[in-house]
Amino acid sequence: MLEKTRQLVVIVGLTFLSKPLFGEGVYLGLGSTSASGGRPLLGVDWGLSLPGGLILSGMLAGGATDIYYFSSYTVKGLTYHNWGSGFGGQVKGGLGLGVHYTEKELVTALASENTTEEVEADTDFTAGPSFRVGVDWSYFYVAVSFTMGFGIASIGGGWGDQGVVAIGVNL
Amino acid sequence: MMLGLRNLIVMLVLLGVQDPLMAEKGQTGVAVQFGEAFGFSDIRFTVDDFDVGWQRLAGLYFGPRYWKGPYYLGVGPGINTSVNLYGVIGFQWEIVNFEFFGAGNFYNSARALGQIGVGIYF
Repeated sequence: MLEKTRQLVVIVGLTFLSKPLFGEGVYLGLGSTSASGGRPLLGVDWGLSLPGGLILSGMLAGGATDIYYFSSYTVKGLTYHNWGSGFGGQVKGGLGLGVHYTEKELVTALASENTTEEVEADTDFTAGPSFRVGVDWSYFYVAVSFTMGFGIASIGGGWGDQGVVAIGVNL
Repeated sequence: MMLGLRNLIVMLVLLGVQDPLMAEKGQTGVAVQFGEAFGFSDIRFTVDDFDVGWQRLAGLYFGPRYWKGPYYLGVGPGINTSVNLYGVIGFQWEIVNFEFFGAGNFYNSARALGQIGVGIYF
């Protein structure tokens, strides 16, 4: 419950406070994410257009049950330019850098564990190049937005992709 | 190991049989991309900057390609077990390219790859 409230506060804050304080436009959408490693999981895509053809963008995803929660956050800064017209809208895209953080934890010890020790959250952090490609219409957009976590496997083409393919509204 | 060696040989042969060509608008050609573990991941036919291809994540995909200098961007629909959206952004140097390719539908799955490729352009 606390986790859901925290995510809701973040979303509401991004939507209503970001634009008047910092930005030129806000993207807010929903879509499928790669955060759960292939299992279906909806996530929130957000983007804040900044002056100079830049965008601050990110993803929120997660889930919770009575005994477990999982939260996934991505934030990235990118150049985000208009590349031309297509599909009846403006095709946009850019490259940048991003970070990704995942936290998962048992909130209730399993009975079979028979332990009173506090269980610490399992966390993962990754960083690397990011990209975002999308089409903007007047009030709607679609976007493919990922942070490609860099690690030793990247040498062999294995990137820790964390992102979302989303459809949403331009606010 | 053998797969990587084979891909390297293919790339060197293709580099050797054609003249270098700077990336530019109005491109027509065919390119093969290699993704995770340098395994085959994408074959793409391009006619006057319109791509039609098959990619591991997107399935059969098609869409326009846009250029800013040597950088390119593509977006459009893909079809495999569902209809999805793909987006690709990359850099081409002569006939070799590197790109990030992402695809997914809006309700079930999404993934992205880094791809290195080689093409023949006319």
